[in-house]
Formats: sequence, C-alpha cells, structure tokens
Amino acid sequence: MTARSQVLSETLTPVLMDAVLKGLGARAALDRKFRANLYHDVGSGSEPWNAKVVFRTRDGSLQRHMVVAKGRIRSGRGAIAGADATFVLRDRAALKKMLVAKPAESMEMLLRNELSFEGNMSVVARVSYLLERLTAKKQPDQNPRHDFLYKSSLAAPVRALASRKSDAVEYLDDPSFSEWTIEDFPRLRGFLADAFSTRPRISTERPRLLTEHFKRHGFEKTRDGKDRDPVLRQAQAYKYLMENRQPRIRKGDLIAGTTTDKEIGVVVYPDLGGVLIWPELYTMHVRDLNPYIIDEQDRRLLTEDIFPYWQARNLREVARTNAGNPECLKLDERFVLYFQWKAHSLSHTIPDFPSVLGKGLGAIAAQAGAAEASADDEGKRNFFCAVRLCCEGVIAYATHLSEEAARLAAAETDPARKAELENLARICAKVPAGPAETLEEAANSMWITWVACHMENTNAGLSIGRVDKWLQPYFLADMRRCADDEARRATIRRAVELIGCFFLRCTDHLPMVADLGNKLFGGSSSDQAITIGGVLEDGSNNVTDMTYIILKVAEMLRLRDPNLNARWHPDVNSVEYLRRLCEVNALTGSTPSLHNDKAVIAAMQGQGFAIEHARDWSATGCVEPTSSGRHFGHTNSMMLSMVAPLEMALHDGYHPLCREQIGPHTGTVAGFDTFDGFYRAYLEQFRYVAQRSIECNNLFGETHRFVRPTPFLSSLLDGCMSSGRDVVFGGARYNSSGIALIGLADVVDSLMAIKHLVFDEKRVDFATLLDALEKNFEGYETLHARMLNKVPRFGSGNAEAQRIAQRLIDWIYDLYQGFPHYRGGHYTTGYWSMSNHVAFGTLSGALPSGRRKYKPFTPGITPEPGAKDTLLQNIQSVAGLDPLKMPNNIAFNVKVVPDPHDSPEQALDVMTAYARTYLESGGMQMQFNVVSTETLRDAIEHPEAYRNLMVRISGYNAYFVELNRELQQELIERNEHALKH
Amino acid sequence: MEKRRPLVAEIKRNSLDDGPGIRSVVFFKGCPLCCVWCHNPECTRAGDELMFRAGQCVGCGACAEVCKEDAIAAGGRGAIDRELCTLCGDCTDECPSDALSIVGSYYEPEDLVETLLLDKPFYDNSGGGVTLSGGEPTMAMNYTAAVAKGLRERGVHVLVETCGDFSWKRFADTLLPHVDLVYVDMKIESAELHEKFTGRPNDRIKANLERLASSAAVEFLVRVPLVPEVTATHANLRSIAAWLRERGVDRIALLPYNPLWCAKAQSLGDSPAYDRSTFMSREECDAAKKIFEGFRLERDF
Repeated sequence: MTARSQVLSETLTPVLMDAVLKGLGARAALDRKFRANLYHDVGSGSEPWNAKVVFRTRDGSLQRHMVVAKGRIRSGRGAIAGADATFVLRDRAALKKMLVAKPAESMEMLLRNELSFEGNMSVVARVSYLLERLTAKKQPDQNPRHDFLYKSSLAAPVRALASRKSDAVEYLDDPSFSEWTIEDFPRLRGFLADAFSTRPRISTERPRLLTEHFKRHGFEKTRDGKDRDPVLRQAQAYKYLMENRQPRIRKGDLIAGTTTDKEIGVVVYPDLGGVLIWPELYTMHVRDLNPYIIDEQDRRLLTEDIFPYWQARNLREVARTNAGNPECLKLDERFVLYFQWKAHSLSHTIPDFPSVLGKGLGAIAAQAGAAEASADDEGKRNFFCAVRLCCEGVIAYATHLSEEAARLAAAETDPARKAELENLARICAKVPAGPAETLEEAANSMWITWVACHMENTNAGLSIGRVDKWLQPYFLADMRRCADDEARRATIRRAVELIGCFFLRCTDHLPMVADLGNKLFGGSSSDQAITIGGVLEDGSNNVTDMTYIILKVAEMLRLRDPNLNARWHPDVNSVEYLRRLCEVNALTGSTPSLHNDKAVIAAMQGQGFAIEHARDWSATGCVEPTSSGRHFGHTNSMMLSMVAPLEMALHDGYHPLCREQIGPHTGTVAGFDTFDGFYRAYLEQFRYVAQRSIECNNLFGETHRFVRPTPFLSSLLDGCMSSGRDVVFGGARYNSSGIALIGLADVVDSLMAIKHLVFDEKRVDFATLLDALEKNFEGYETLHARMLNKVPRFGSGNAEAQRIAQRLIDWIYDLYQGFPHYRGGHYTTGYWSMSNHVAFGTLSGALPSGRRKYKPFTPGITPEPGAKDTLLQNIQSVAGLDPLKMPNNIAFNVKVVPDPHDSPEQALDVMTAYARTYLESGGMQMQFNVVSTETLRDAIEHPEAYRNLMVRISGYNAYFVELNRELQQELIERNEHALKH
Repeated sequence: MEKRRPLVAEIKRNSLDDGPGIRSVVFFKGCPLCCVWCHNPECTRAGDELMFRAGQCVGCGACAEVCKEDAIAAGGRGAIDRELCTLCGDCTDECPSDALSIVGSYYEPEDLVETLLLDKPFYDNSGGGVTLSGGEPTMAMNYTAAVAKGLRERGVHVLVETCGDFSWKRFADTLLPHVDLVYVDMKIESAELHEKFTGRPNDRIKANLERLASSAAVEFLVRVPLVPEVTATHANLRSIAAWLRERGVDRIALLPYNPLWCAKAQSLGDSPAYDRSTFMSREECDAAKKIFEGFRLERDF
C-alpha cells in the first residue's frame, strides 16, 4: 500500500463507516419497504428484530456499533455490551474494503483472514444483507446458458464387447449397445438439452410450507405452551409439506414427480445452513460462478418471513447457544482447520430402497402403526407415529401425482402421450405405497421416494446406492413377460430410456451454495452417488444387464450427477467389464470412478461389518462406502486440513495466517534436535485440531436431536424400526461418522524435506528453513530447487516416503478410532478432498515440500505432480497403502490423454492395464480424467463451447467451466499421462 | 564378459512407444554407428559422461565451488571443461536442481533384471514387457543376453531394438534365443551414403536383415527413421522399399523425425552437424508414406 492510500485509509475509513451506518438508519426511517427487513413475521403479526452488532478492527483502534430495535437502526462510536455479532477486520484498509466489496469479495476477505466474525452467524448474514441492500443497484440478468455439447476426442467409436455374455448378464448380446447413441433417444436428447440450457432457480416451496406449519403449531413449544417432541414435530411438519406441495409431471417424462416447483430448482434448508445465503439474495443471479435466478417474491419471502424465523433456530445457532459458543465452533468458523458438514446436512447415507420397492411405504406405515399401538414408552410411540405420518405424507404426494397425471391425460391430444400419462396415473396410485412389479413402477417408486428424501434432508451427498442390483429383478420380470425377440428388444430399449429419464430427473435440483461454497466446493452438484457392479451379499457376481444399461445411459448423457461409481472385484468380475468401465470413462471424460471391491469390503469388515453387509456397500456422496440401507455413516461429516497442524507445529502452536495461538505450545523449531522430536510435535498439534473437530461434530450431532430428527430417513434405515429410535439417536443398525483428511502428500513431502535437509544432511538449519517459508522462497531459490529436486516424494516409489505416509495414516486411524462417537460406532478416516484441497490451500503458507503460499494442496491421496518418474510409481505407491487404515476410502486422480492418432482400442488397452494393475495390487479407488491440458486451456478461453466438459475433482464430477479459476488451474497442472502407443 | 563394463544411460518406465503394451526400455550406452541425427546422443559413447541441462539450472554456482579440478568456471551455468572433468560426481551431488547429472550406471545383470521386474504386473496386464535399446544393446552381447535370459525366465516379453550392425554368429548364439521380438533399423540403402551419415558401411546390416527375413528365427520389424534430407529423400526411401520388397518384407514402421534431441546433444557439450529444429510437416510425412504403398505400416502417424 502506498503511503498516500494508507493515510486515506486511516482517515477516511471511520468517515465511511459512520456514513454507512447513518445511511442504514436513514433508509430504515424513510423507506417502508426497507424497514420490512427489520421485522420477523411470526405467526399472524410482525415482531421487531432486535440485535446489537459491533464492527471493529483487530487492534481495537476503530470501533462502531449498531443497534436494531423496533424497526429502527441507530449507531454510534465504540463497542457495546452484549453484542449478538461482531465483525472483526484485520485493519482499517480491510474495513474500508468490506464496506465497498461485493459479497464474493468479502468471502475472499474471509478466506484471506482479513475478516472474521464472532457470535451469531445468522445475524452476521442478516447484517451483511442490509449492507448489501444499502449499496446495491438492481443487477440485470445475464444471458441464458448455451446448449452446446462438447464431444471428447474419443467420442466416436464404441465397439461391441466380447460376443460372449460376460459376468452375470442374462439377456444382452452386446452389453455396450454399440449401435445406439443419444440421437436414437429423442426424449433423452431433449431433456439433456434442457438440462444444459435451463438456469437454476431458487425454490421456496419447501421452506415456505415448513415455516408456515411451524409458525402455526410452534417449534419449541405448541401454541398452548407444551414442549413439542422433536421427532413428532418434524414428522407433522413433513407431512404437511408433502400433502401441500405441487404435484408436477414434467412434459414428456416417463417418471412422475419433481424435487421442486421449478424446472431446475435450488432447494433451501433454512433450518441448516440456508440462512447463510441471505447477503447474496440480490446478487446471486449475476455472480460469476453458478448463478441462481431468484424471483422478487421469493426474495421477499425469504428475507421477511422465512430467514427471520430460522435466524436463531438453525442448527448452528442452537448449538452455539446451548454450548456457549465453544472454541471448537469458533475454529470451524475460521475455515482454516476443518469444515463441518453437520451444520449443513444430515445426509451422506443410502436409504433402504429394496424395502420400498419390495413391500412399499404403505407396509412400512402399517408396521409403524402397529408398533405405535404396542410401544412401551413415549419416545418409541412418538417415533413410530412419526414414521407413519411421514409415509402417509409421501403416499399423499404420490396420490396427488396420480391425480395430476390423470388430469393431464384427459387434456392430452397425442394418443401416445395420453397412454403414457394414463399409465403414470396408474403407477403413482400403486407405488411407492405398494410393491412394484415392473421396471417402470420400480423406477417411479424410487424417484418419488428420492424426492421425498430430499424434502426432508439436504441434497448434498445423500446417495442412491446399488441401482443395478435393485432394479435387475424388475428388468428380468419384464423380459420374461416378452413373447418374442422383438418384444425383448423393445423392452431393453425402453429400459435404457427409463434409466435415462431417471438420471435426468436427478438433475432437477441443485444444492444452495453460497459464494463461499463456490470457493470451497467448486462446481459440486448434489453428488447423488449411484453404485454398480461388484459382488452380492453371498459373494457372487453382480455385474448384470442392468449394470450395462446404466453404463450406457452414463455414456450417452455424460452428466456430472448422478455421480457414477463402479465396483470391480478382481476375483469375481470380468476384465471385459473393467474395460467397458474404462471405455465409458474415456467417452465421458471422467465417469465412472473405479473401486476395488475386495479392498473396500476388507476395510468395512475391519470396521465391524458382517461380511454380507460389507459386501452390500455403495459409494456415498463422493467415494465413501456405506452399507446400503442399514448404516448411518454420515461419511462426509467433516473435512480436515492435515497441513494446518503442520504449520502450527512449525510455529509452536501459532497459526501464521490466522495470526493466533491456536494449538498447544510444542516448542519452537530451534529446539528440535531430531526429526522424531518435530514429528511428535506435529502429531500433538494434529491431535489438538482433531479433538476440537470431533467436539464440534458431536455438538452438531447432539443438536440434530433437537433441531433435526429425521423420521422419514429413519424409516428407510434398518435398525430404526426395531430399536424405535430415529437415526439421530443412533437408531440405525450400523453407526459411524466419516472424515476426509486433506493434504497427505503435502505433509509427507514436507516431513521428508525437513528430515533430509534439516536433520539428515544438515543442509539448512530449521530457523532458516522457516524464514524461507515466511518469504515464500524469495531469496531462497537454491534451497527451493533442492526441496523440489533432491528430496524424494510420496508417490515416487521411495521407500522412506512410503513408510512415513503409512506411519502417519496408521497413527491417524488409531487416533480417530479412539474418539468417542455420539451415536456409538467409530470415526472412520479417508483421504479424498472434494475441492477442499484448493480451498485449504488458499489458506496456507509456503511449505517445506516446496509448495508455494496459497497454492492448492494435492487432491485426495494423489501424489504431488512433481513426484518424479512415472505414473507407474504413483500407482504402486498408492496401491501399497493399507486399505484397512483408510476405511472412509480415498480418491486417486490420474489424468490421461488419448493420442488422436491411436485407435481407441489401444488407448483402452493401456487404460485398462493401469486400472487393473492398480486394483489387483490392492489400490482402493482410482479416477481417470481423460482430457488434455490443451482442451482445458481452450475451455478457459471459450467456455461457451465446453458447457458439458466434465472433469473429476476429488471424488465428484463437475463441469469444468463452472469451476473457480484456482480449481481450473489445479486441474491443468495435474500430471498428464499420454495414452499413446 | 565384455572388456568394458556395459553402462545403462536410462531405464524408462511406462513407455508406450517402444513395442507392444506397457514397457520398460533400457537404454545402453555405446553404439558402433554415429548417425548425424542420433536421437539419443547420450548413448553414443560407451563411457559415462557429465550432462548439463541448462533449462533446469538455477545459477547458484554450487557446482563451481565444489569442483576440485576447477573444471567448472565460477558461477557454473554449464561452463564445463570436459578435459579437466574426472566425473567424480561431486558437482552432481551438490547441484540442487538436478541440472548436472552423470549419465551411465552399471548394474549387475541380475540387479537390472530385478529392477525391471518391479513393473511386471503392468507388462502382464497390457501385453507389454522390456525393450533393450540404446545406443546399441548388441555391443555387449553377453551382458544383454544374460539380462534377456533372466527376464524371459521370469515370464517377461523381451524386445531388442538394434541398428543391425552386429556379428550374426554371436547374436544367434547368445542373444537371439532369449528374445521375443527384434526391431531393426534400415536407415540408408546406399552403402556410400550410409557411411557418410552414420560413420559405418551398411553391408553387415543388410546381411543381418536378410538373415532375419529368411530365417523365421524370430519375429522382427524393420523400422525406417525419417530424417529430412538424409534418410527421408525420395531416392533413399524408394531404394529401401524396393530392397525390402525383394526380400519379402511387407511390414515396416516409419519413424518421423523428432528434433528434441538437439537440446540433449548440447547438454553433453556436443555441437551436432545436423541441426534441423522442426518437426516434419504433414506433406513430408505423406510423401514418405506414399513411397511405401503396399506395405503394412505399424502405427500410423
């Protein structure tokens, strides 16, 4: 900063701050519409919103406060006692910046630690919204998105597999359906074009109906002052929602029901993290990344009606109030150490779809009703009652869909469509209330149930499971009813179309992502994982007709979501199947991801799962295994930076970017005589951070019991119905919480550098190394070169680096297994990162590994691109790690590029050989990005031509053009391995 | 064993260019020829040598400071007096960026086999194996044969890439029994021009090619490097095509010129006479392909 601008900051910032606060007061006094923002609409009347807010610089040299009361805003100098929220700015320049910044920029400030908050986050969100309203102009809408479909270089030839029937396939002669392309399915082609040209809109249907219900009947207490039972309360509200939401059938669809009242709707969960979107309501439609449209009436509904109601009732604030704003929560809100998902979702599990398909929700409601009548205590009685109410609500919704289908059929003039609608009317009257008998009924039953799941729980990582296994019996039943080959061909074609419709239905909703989320989880969708292949409970082959039908749909549609995960069992599934997986991956660019069934099953057995339940696993969200329909594993309960404790160990517990003593004092670097001494300090810092993160997870988990019991989901998880307990009370048969640990390679490489350069070779003393990190290696070019070139890295095949990695993984596993879990069960550790390796990277200084300040960490468990030598060493290093110590799975990224001169056969041979060798050597998971760096660079220049260019980040798929620039850059800098021959 | 210990310049793993499947390629040092366009100049000489990659140098000068022979001028940056250099390796140890390295390591044959076996699962799953290349792998025929034998005994597919200039009898007696596939070059048909551009006449190469073509002793592939104005002339390629046709050879590989070797030559202190720095154009490639009409071309380009 120049001296002149510094002086300006010093003197002008207080003036500007005062002007803004005065402006707010004046606007509130003069503008009736604006004043409406200062009330809660509670029940029939409006109640004023009362809040005290402080703005101050970190050194305290500038302090202002504002008080909101009785629809007025007054402000003054100095702090004020009993503030609900405090905006803490690094200095005056930062305060000035905040006052003029766009929401996206204030997020940036948050991530750069120029800005932090204390106190109630919802109050912060609401005040940010007011500041935004004061300065914002009406922003014009952007152009609609293009419908231009990028095709990969390998898009053309699809070959028939071996002519013999592979695996457990019964009917398909050509399991890759080489004669079909998307153009053969006009219905799907149309939906696909819509999916890429429709802009997502905020839907307020869900929060509006729920809030309406709670305002009428009370949340904490009934209108006549009695405590409401949380489980029963949620069920009553849920039933009201399901009975009153719009029954919609998309034009031309074979599957009835929609997640929202919009074509592509963004679902709002204000009882969880939804309130955080408040400051962006007037800018979200023009933000750079993933803009959402919002209608004016929905804005007002959220601002004046819905958000105020949840401001103090959302999970985070209830937890804060109950626990007295504990340290673990404050650390969560710094974003530097860990990210807690429980504040945003109760998801990352797999519902028991086989029960819905096999007996129907009507049977579950009846079972609950009987148990309710005979329950011996009130808790159980309430729970069973709640299950019954939820099922009744879903059945009511299906009935409304049936009526809607009949209404549309009556008005339909095209006889073919009329017949389809009449069929839908019949189906929705039958399922999901009763058992399904045909594939069409099963697909509709699954979808309606899936919508119902999302009406209860956040659309972030809630996953669908083993669709091939569960639908194959219905496909077989349909085939057996066919009289001749022609009928069989038509049935197979119809199955492809139906599954295509199901996949496209899954694109009808998106998670509510604040701009901060675009940073943290760039381009992520709802991550609805579907899992195919592998083995059945008895160990036999589950690669069936339905497996290949799903693969064909994935190949033709090339959607980021559902997130397709394929299990391959080296001893049971065929190599032809693995080759087909690689082929679909090459054609789509990034899906499915590949899992080693043997290793994952062993890892689950290590966590106490019975063998048949371990074999019945599905990927959840990104890659994490859940035993389908019986396991509440909240597999992405949190993401933790492994690098933050390293930086703290280098600074005696002080975090350089936070500028705060966070961890225990473990000694300054000058005091370490041995590498082991430093290593122990790292472990101690790690333990401290892990403990806080577990406290936070347990706090949120316990708060769920009051704010967010989830009776409908509970009805779909084995164990709850026998125990009579909601999943949030540990009712499921298996319980656990999953952790994603981020930055393994960065930490191992850094430890190797410290060991080699400081202790073994004594090339540099520790204090000098620290100075080099502080200066981001400026003036230390020689040392930096040595770090990059002379220190063996994880993934290079170096035995010592491999030992350190395994030693760390083992220690972390033991640490987490020892933590108490609020629902019973274990904390399971895994190494994948979504896109948080980029986010945490922007919050970290330079590292001894040679990584520069703010650069991304390596994604998941992937070795750093500079780890020398070839892909083979990377593959062997990762495959050499012990899966039993990584039960929450891993994400190993490999970017390969087919040479356009080569035949796809040759490229596929090589890809299959990599995958097969990795999986046979014990590697758990691997994901290919089949795209060239050149293409990625061109996509940055010409995003309009690459609308559907799909890439795999770390566990999930995203459209490249929707990613933030840092993430795009990280993908470009990944090692590229030519598939030429 | 051979008089001089055979050295390995590099083991390149995960190669997809030197034979079927995923392969490891062993580049031996030393070659009887000295082709003006040689792609692997670090393999021409049989002895070890100091290599300096200018692009990697950070200019720290540590090499000059550590050199006991004063063979590196102050400041480093590759100012090496190769007369004074004793290849002691002090500078390569000290160099922080691996800009300096010594090319040429000796392995006991069984150690080399063990090293190559690290990637056996990849060979097995891709139909790959090991390629013995160079330089010229037949220069140390006994050594190469021991390595090939060790690999074959462990079930690894062995390919030998050769210039063809070797004693057939020694080859047939020692190496051939342990080889699955031979890639042999046909560079220049005219004996005179061959000697001009490679330093050696081609009579022995032609004789060996004829033996390979007529004996069915081993599967082989003739490869023709396309070097503009040297091998890729109309006259030479036509002569090669005719010569091969007469001997019933109908399957070849054409290897288009790759100029990236120039930088490697400079890093060894060489100043090559041939210095084309660009890739071949589409037209140049097509012209060459046209001459070989009727042949089956391995790997189109």
